[in-house]
Amino acid sequence: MKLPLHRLDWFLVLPLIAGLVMVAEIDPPGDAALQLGPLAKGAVLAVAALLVSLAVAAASAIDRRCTEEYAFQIMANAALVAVAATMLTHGGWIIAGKFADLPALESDNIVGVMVIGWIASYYWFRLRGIAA
Amino acid sequence: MKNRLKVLRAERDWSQADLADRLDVSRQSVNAIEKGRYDPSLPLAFRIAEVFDLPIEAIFSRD
Repeated sequence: MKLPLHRLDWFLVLPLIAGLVMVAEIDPPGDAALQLGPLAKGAVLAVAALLVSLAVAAASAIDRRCTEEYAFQIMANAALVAVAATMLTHGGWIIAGKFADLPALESDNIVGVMVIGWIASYYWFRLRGIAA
Repeated sequence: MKNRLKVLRAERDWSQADLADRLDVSRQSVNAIEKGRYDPSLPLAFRIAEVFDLPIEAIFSRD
């Protein structure tokens, strides 16, 4: 049974709200119990990112089966937009931080930006289409 | 890409929902293809051609 497109439209309101909450997250980071050096932290993150990416890539086959082609293409296009929007927003924030005393972005904020970018561009492509 | 989906569907007196059922996609997908907001993949284009019993090039053409 494939997920009807109109249900997906409604369902995606939930992660959009989650994204907005994450963008507004202002809790200060707690003290780390485990101290990792930059190299160790980088290595752990690189391995984790690789493993999670492979797992999600394999699991995307479920998405393909559970959503129809049109919905999957919209979500895939929106994901590309979300990645680009996240990088540009992050870069812009860093550059703006050179001129103004901006607070540092927390990981929750960055994930929130990515989720908002994904959902917003999903609805954009639903309205405007994805034809080349 | 242009297509004759709407015309072919009208000739057979099918609604968008009828065609969507035959293609096993949503009505929104059929609507998006007809309005040129979505170019179907090759497998879906072949299914459309089978449903209308026409070659793909009789349904889809370049702008």
